[in-house]
Amino acid sequence: MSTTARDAAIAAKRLAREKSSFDSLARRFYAGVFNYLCWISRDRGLAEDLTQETFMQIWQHLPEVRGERALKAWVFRVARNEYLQHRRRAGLETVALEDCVGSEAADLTSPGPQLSLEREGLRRAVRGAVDKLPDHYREVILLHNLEGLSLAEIVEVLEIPVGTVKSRRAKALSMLRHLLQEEEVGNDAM
Amino acid sequence: MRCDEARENLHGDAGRLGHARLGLHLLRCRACRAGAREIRALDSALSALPRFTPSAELLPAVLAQAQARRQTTETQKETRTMKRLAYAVAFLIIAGLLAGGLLTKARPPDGRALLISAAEAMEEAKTIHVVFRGTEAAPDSPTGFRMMPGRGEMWLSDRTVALRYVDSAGELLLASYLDCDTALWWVYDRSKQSLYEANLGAVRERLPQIVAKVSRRFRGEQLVEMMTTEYPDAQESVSTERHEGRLVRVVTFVYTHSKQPRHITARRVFEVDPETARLITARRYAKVEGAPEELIDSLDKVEYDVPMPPGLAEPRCPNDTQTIETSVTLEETSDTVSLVMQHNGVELGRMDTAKAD
Repeated sequence: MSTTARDAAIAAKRLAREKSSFDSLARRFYAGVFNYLCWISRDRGLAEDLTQETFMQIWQHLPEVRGERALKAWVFRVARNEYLQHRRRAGLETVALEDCVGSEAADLTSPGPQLSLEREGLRRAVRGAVDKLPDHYREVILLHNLEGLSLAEIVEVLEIPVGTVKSRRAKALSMLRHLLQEEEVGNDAM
Repeated sequence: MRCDEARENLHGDAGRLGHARLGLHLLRCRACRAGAREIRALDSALSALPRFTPSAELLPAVLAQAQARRQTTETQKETRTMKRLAYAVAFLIIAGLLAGGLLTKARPPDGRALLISAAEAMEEAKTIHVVFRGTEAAPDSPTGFRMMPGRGEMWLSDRTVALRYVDSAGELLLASYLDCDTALWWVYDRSKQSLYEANLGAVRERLPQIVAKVSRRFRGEQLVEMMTTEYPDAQESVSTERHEGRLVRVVTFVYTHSKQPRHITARRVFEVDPETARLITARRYAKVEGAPEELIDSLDKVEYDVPMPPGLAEPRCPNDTQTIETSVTLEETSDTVSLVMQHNGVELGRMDTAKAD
């Protein structure tokens, strides 16, 4: 095989690898990205559009990304930037999270009906409480507790110091505790 | 560990040592233990947050869109890339010009064999000097193709990679020079009125290998890589014509960008010296049905084994240019070695080479 033909074969393999790595990356992250975008945009249709836009950005810039370690944070940063860009373009529209959740939250697939109801109650309470958090606190909770990003990865996504991430998380948890306590008191009173 | 430190570390990422110290503190401090329990309880409650499941169509749509984009990025990528990296301007034009020929799959063997030989001749030359240009699309251009208008020159050897690109008025837009003998890399960017200089002394030992690979990538591998976009319906033709008093082989590929918003027919024309198998010129055209064909870019001249011109290392920038010292790092992955020029955390240039031969 000539040098150029061999190079062509190498190049073709590399492109195939690149495509394959994009496909596996998309498969790995699309559901998480969609979930995150759904939570922050509160709009399922928009979240689907933004997920597609996010992966188009990823597709274009994937060859520039170096290092598996930063990959997850980078993917979520791209998703967040897509959302922020959309917000700047369209102006912020807030939709009740309930509209986004639809029937999904009523997914009662637990062992027994009583436990299901308790879990569903807790789920609703937590969801309601998280939805009431200011955006900058909510983001930290969503990225950490829902998407499993470490604090160091959240630093990369939000581009803020680690101390700020920690303090936002602490404040978010503190607010959640109060909100859940209020919810509990309200339920007890009924 | 004090209580305030402990409270901070309760939120994770304390590191192994921090975690151990936190554990010790929690054994002794009832208040912090209560805080830790509370955080665990909240984390547990948060695990009950519902997840939104995307529709079954989303993933196929993402993958299909990427696949469609793959087939159109070749031209679109040009405009984006040239803003980021000086070398890319030269590379994309040259690669784009050569692209249709070498890797178009549905083709008779003649044209392909001719162009593979041409690429080999470029690789084997000790030095290569190319002159190329991007054309300015008319404001009402129906194809939507846009290249950076202007002219460029590139000199490539195993020791040096140099580029100069001027606009239609002759003003320097981009220039770059990477040389392993002087261990110097500079990039001039008119949009920033800046000349970025980096001393490569720290990576001097690796330079000969890296520069040779970078240079060969421009001449061979990466050109070919750019050409791996498949145009299954490409029609190939080979003819012999007279060019400036001598006979040349003309290889033409015609294919369509069916994924573009509009149906675009692209044509790539290569002139090859039949005796030496060397590429003489290459041109790329695009046409929308019913509109005149447009020249997108052109490789006007390729010179082989010419001496590198004196003064190539001199930036010759406009007077209002500020010179900025930058740093260069060597980044390695399992597949690649890259020289990366950065200033204030912004990447100014990148030279990627594959580790594999």
